[in-house]
Amino acid sequence: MIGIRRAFELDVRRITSQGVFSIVALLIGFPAVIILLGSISGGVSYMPGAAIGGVSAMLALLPLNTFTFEQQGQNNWMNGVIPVRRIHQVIGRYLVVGACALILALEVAVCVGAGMLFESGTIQFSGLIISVLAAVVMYALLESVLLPLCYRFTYQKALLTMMLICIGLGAAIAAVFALLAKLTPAAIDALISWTVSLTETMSGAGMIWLALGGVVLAAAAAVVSLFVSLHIYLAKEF
Amino acid sequence: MTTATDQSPMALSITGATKHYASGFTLDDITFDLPSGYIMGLIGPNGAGKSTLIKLILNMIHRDAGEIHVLGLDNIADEEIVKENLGVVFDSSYFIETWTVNKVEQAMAPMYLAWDHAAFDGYLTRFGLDRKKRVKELSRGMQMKLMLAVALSHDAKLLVLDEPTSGLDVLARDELMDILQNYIADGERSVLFSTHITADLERAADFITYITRGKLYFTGPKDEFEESFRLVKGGPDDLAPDVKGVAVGIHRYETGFDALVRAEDLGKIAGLKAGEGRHWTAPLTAEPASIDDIIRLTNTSDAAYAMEVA
Repeated sequence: MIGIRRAFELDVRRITSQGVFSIVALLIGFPAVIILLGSISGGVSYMPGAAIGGVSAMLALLPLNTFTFEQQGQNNWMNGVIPVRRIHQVIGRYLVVGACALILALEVAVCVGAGMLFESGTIQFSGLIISVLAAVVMYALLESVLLPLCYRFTYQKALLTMMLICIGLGAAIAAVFALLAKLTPAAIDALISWTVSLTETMSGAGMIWLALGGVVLAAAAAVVSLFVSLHIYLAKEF
Repeated sequence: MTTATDQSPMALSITGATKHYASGFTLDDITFDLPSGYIMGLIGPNGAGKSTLIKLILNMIHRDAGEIHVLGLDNIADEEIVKENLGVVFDSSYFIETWTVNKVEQAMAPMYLAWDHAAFDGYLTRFGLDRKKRVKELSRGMQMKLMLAVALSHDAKLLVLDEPTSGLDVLARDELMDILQNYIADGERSVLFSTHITADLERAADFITYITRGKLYFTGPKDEFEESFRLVKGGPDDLAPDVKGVAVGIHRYETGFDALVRAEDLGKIAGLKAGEGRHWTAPLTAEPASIDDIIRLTNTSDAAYAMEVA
């Protein structure tokens, strides 16, 4: 446990190398300003979404900063100097991602809650929870792919690979839909109508089950990602 | 090693350490011991495998064979305890460049159970390091001193230094050698340092481990290293077969040659026997070989061929 704590602390030091203030200001100040502006201008309904998007992007990149700092100079040699096993170094980094996910959850809750308050004067907790879970699940899935890539490649190459994966996935889905539209146009209509009816008929509890299913999916992805990262990093030489 | 040192616990014990690289370079079957209370110089030309060996000790690269023990502990199985007791200095800084000296301490202090803030502070004062300065604002020598301050501030029992003097002027090198000698004074701490600057070895090293082309050439007391070789010099026409036969390395130049010969092989050279009180002038002379001579002449093409054959 000491090793994991040390690794976590060192990664936090790496992330805050340019100063804690700028990160805190961005994570708290940015969404606050966006929502405030939204409430003043009347664009409340979409402003929380914009704030969440910005914060999510920041939090997605924040843990990856550890890799960029390791690439600078010979900072990765520090990993060979400190009395922390490699396995603990990796777990520590995943804990940083976990901490970022918690911050994201908090930020989303505040942003969405504020949006609800400004718009209707009340907070719908089921909607709030679903928003938080959806954001955290998406975040976890994204980081679960990015972290092993960063362990395997340089940071720049990892991002490039991630972009190619996204483009590839998008192209594959588009190709499937195009093919279905060409071969069996009725299948597309059936799928769309099924999705719409599912969304309309699903109760609050059903949505929560769906979100919890997402959480399980994200947890499974995180575990697989951790093992892949360990496999890569334990074999790495620096 | 001497009898006295045999009785001391080994600060570092390397047995058959081997590392193959895809490039073709192999660090091959390195074996040596460093007793507690001594300084060992790890020497060899560029690319000999010194840094590879240090990275093996630190488990930064994976060994293909062999064992490495630090203070009797396996460097992989007991990695955390081993590294608590290791102080490491590389030839370039491993700290994040935007960190201040103060942040370096904030980052490194939680890494070690025995971190000594007062000791670190003392070294900063001694080395003239300003806590507010960023790592990137420090000269290479000062960055080395910062690494050294960290290495000396957590009660490490073994210092491992990779080319620590390469960026230092003569005064700073002298100061470093003083620090190292004070560091081992209690007989419980040891130092392994790789260097190209043999004057540092003359000043501080008790033992020498010499690696060339990935192979161990010599390990043992420094004096034994120097005494085990002689430099035979002669004119261009004096390079007789008997000299060639025993020389471990030869450097030819226009006015003559230098041949490195093992001390026990000197008697096999006829030209030298003639010089021992006989009436005619000896064509050859034998002089003590410096560490530089040994490194220089064991890395000639002749010596390389001889090593390959061996």
